[in-house]
Amino acid sequence: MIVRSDSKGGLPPQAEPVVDVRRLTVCYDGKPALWEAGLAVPRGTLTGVIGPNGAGKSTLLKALLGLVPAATGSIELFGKPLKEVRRRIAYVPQRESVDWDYPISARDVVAMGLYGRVGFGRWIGRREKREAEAALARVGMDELADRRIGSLSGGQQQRVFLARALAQGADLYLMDEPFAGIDATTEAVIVDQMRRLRAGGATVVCVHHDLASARSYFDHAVVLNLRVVACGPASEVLGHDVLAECYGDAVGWMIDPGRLEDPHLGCPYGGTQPL
Amino acid sequence: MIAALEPWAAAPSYNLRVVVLGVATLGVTTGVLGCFLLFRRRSLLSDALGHATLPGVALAFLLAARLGPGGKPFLALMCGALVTGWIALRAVHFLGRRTRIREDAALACVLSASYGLGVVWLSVVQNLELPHASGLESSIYGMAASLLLSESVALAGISIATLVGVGLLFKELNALSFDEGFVSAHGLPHRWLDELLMVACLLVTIAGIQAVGLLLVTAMFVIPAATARLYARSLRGTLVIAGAVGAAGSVGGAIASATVQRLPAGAAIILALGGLFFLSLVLAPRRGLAFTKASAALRRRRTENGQLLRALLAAEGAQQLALLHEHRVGSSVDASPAQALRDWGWAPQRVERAVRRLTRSGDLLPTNADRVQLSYQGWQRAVRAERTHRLTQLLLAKRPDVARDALLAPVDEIEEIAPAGVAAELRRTLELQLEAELRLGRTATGR
Repeated sequence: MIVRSDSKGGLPPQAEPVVDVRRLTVCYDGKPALWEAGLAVPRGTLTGVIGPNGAGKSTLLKALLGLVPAATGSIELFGKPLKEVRRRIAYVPQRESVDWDYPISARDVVAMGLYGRVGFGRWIGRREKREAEAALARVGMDELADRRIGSLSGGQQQRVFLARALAQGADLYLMDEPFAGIDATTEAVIVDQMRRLRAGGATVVCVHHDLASARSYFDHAVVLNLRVVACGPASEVLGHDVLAECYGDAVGWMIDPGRLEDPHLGCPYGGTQPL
Repeated sequence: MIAALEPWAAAPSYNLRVVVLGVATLGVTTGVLGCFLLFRRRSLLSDALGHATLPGVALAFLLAARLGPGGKPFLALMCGALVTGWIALRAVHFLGRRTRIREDAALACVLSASYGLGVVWLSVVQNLELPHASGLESSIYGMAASLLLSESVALAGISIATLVGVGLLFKELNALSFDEGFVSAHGLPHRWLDELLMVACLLVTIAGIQAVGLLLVTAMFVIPAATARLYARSLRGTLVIAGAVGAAGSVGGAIASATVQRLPAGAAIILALGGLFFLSLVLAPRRGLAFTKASAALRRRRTENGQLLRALLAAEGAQQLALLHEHRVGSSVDASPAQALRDWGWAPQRVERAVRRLTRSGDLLPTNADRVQLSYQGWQRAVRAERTHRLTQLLLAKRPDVARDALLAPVDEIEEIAPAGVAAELRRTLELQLEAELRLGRTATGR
């Protein structure tokens, strides 16, 4: 279904959205990276942000976090402005965004997720280290807690980032391309953890570039291409017509439309409906 | 060395003690702050700040000479340095954030422009032939050897305040250095932290100018931090080592300058720091050049030895019996190493070298020309190498993420690289595989 940029994309009226964005425009150097985007993410969903390169997917996430300024429009999280709910949000940045040569162990990176709780002027203690190890165990990395972050593989680094967000114990998780360039183990761990988060009542918004796997990972989707092309349940939104509008003619080449008709084909995690 | 310590031990002059107090605390602090500059890729900032203080110093000297009571106007010079240093800091921030100019270019612009301005004013001041103009010289080249007690205490005060601040904000600074995006997304005040760090650098730079001069002060930030990077595995370790290197180099340089006549303290300190850096570059464990070269050579030799032994074991045949029951069938088989290694892509010289090495260690027995036999000891080693190789292959199939790191570190037993519990399982799997191979009567080479 195609929604206008000012509507709350296919949401039952009683459910209060976790993310509520209206007519958001973000510009870099005077060029819009997002243009009058309006979308709503219902509580307890795994929402994929899908779109071609340069569609503004990461920009949307960064705008939600206040990392890039909005030119116009409003953003509400949990019905409040960002400042009041910052502690309830965890962010998993793109892997390229940090210096991997930095001398720090996996455990200490994860412990950063607890900094907000520890408070100024205090160092992290034994309790925080134990909690960090528990978070690492959730992503299958407890054996590697002492390893320097730069000596880990790309997928392991991604899992450390995920563990840091998990340690934070947030209600809303914003992940920027967690599935980019990782191994199969890590992919399975991330999908599993996302589902556990949803089962625990948290909401996950995840930037994703791969159309073929999007329908199996997410139950809700936002299709972006500078503007919001569509927003709603994944099974409705990720149809061929929406994707054709978003990607143009390339979509026939990117996914076989026949495969989209049959949700059980080509979906490693078994179908699209209830994940 | 003894001679260098003589003035310190025999006649611990009041003056030298003052100097050592000042430069030691300064060295610790510049080392610590330098680490943050290094991690944030701003090593040149201290250089820009150092140069940017020159116009301030010259102007303050002029004003103090005209309006002040005379004497060496230490405080006035420092205030002048603070003002122009601050302006330079703002300029770098403005250019880097608000314009299309990148930070490195912004630093270079501010550095050279402010130094040019400083040189112009300096020539004006010098042409006026005011008294105490040597105070200006000390700002440019540093006069660690003639620090007064008050100056030394001021240095120590700034240094200690900075170190306390770093201690209090340790975890925030750690996060800022590793992942700036996370800090701001987390709602920690990252602009404010960054600002604080830069102001601390400015204050310490100005303090350092008295000791080593504005041209060389950047080295006191950068060299200890770069040295510490060669050793440390954590931020805390990096800071401690950088502080220690900074203090050691500063004290060493100051003592050398007090001992050797006409040796300027600033240059001596920088040379001492540079010496520590080059020593570390070569000798540091793990990251030093000597270590990485030696360990690469050792790794190559161990890999070659293992491969040659395994190739000869394959030439004997009946590997399954050897691996399963330690039963040797082909003890009388002698093989040509060159032929055994034909498929492994070895150059003839490499084969010769490896054969010589293993003959010397008693693993190979040369029979007749160009042919060798595995000794019993060599056979045992070959069996172990082959078994570990096969177990590693299994591990790679089972836990690719773990095994990848292990591949380059030749190990004797699989337990060294497999996670606890996995190794025993791998050994069972290998046994089953070997028994199956035996039943099929295959003579797998196992390569």
